[in-house]
Amino acid sequence: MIVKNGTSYEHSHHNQALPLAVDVENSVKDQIALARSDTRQLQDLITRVKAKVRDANLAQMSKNVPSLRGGSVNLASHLTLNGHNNKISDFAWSSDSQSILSASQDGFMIIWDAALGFKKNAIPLDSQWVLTCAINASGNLVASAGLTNNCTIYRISQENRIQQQIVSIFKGHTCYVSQVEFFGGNEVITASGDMTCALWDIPKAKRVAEFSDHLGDVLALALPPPKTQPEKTVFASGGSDGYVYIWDTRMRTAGQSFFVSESDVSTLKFFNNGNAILTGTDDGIARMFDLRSDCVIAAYSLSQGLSQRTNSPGKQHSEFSLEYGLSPGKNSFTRATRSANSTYLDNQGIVSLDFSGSGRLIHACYTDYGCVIWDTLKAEIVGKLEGHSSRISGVKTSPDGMAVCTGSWDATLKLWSPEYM
Amino acid sequence: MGEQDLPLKIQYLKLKRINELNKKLKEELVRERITASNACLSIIDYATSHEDYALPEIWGYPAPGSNPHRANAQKIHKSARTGSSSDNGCCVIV
Repeated sequence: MIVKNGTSYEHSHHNQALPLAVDVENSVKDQIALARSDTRQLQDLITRVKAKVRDANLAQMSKNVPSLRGGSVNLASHLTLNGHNNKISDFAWSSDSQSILSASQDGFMIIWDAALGFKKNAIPLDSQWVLTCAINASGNLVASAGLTNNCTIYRISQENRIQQQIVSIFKGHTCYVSQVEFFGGNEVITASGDMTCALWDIPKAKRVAEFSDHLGDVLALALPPPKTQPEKTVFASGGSDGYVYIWDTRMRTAGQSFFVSESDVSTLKFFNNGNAILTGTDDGIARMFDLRSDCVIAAYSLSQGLSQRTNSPGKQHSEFSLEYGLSPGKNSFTRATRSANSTYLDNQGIVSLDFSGSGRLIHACYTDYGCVIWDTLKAEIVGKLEGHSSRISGVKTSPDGMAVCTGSWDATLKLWSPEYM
Repeated sequence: MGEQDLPLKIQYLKLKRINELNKKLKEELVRERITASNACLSIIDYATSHEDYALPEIWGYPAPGSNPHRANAQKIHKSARTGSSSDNGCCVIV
């Protein structure tokens, strides 16, 4: 407030101090009430606009697409990567589909030749409690992170095959790092149990941005397929608050958000066109959200998918509907007790998800049930990847779409690809 | 004076936060949205027009030797099985 006449103002100010303050307070209260009613109106409008757009789901629109006949998925294991001696925590394909980086709780990362199964590099880790790993597009840098709250960047040497050449150690998260991904040439993104995601610059060796809209642990990250996003600004995160946020690294707040479910969003994957995102939650349901229509368009529930399968005539005695469970021996449940025990299926959280090369199939790993193959369009179960002797911790399709890799607590990785005629 | 202003300041902060929320909601309201049916159609189009040899009933089988992942693995297994010296460039221990 600018006052010309100092003395007279002071005089009046002293007299009117109380009533003035009350006036101001009342007007602020009025404004708050007004703003709140605006909020309500806006929320109603948004709900109405969203409902109007949500006119169909994927299964309805796929009515005229023929179903895939059960057991007809052509994926067979052609290679097993043996060498780790503890659970596989995470793994990643190189961008040329020729190598696989794996991180294990034996305290090593290994780079494998994906076609031949040979080990190309081994990187000893400072901590065996690694949860996540990543390899950059040119294949000369890898990253690991986990329960130490740090993210470490290593350079890969072509001469020295077993070494730990650290480029940078990013400290700053105050809780475990659940996932790390390379972002463009010089940056990595991390998701953490401290409820934030962070963007780190490797040459500058520091954190350049923080993203903190989540109200729970951030458990998963996803980047759109490289082809769909050449300029690298968008990423998605999922958390224990049941939300997925879509971020643009040029902005500090999320551009779009989806409420997924009351349970943890444990894994996320963009559809191959970059316009939709698939979520895996602890409630065992995979859901697909389209970013352009801003709503959920498909849901895949394990118990529903299996009951559909056994009820549909003709499929009942198909080859794999009998192959329940993980692998013979390891799992003591019989088929009878399992189908009787529906809570078993209800307790299958989703651990990992990926699409096939065309996006027609979804590979979904459940806590104990193994890796199920879904028809993305019809929301029907069409197969299963069987062969690991313990829990499958991840599934990832190669960038060229010709192979699928699974990692397991049985300390091996398996590669699956279509067989010749 | 400070004590009197404190609730007022909080009220102002409250107002500011609600206005920020409203701004976000307005942005969300004007977001361009396509219908879910069209989003689904574009996904169906993508999934049915891209080659996928995991689905032989639609795309058939890959031509022998066309899968870089499988070709090499089979070569190794074959040479290991027959025990013959490989002429395909793999190492041979003499």
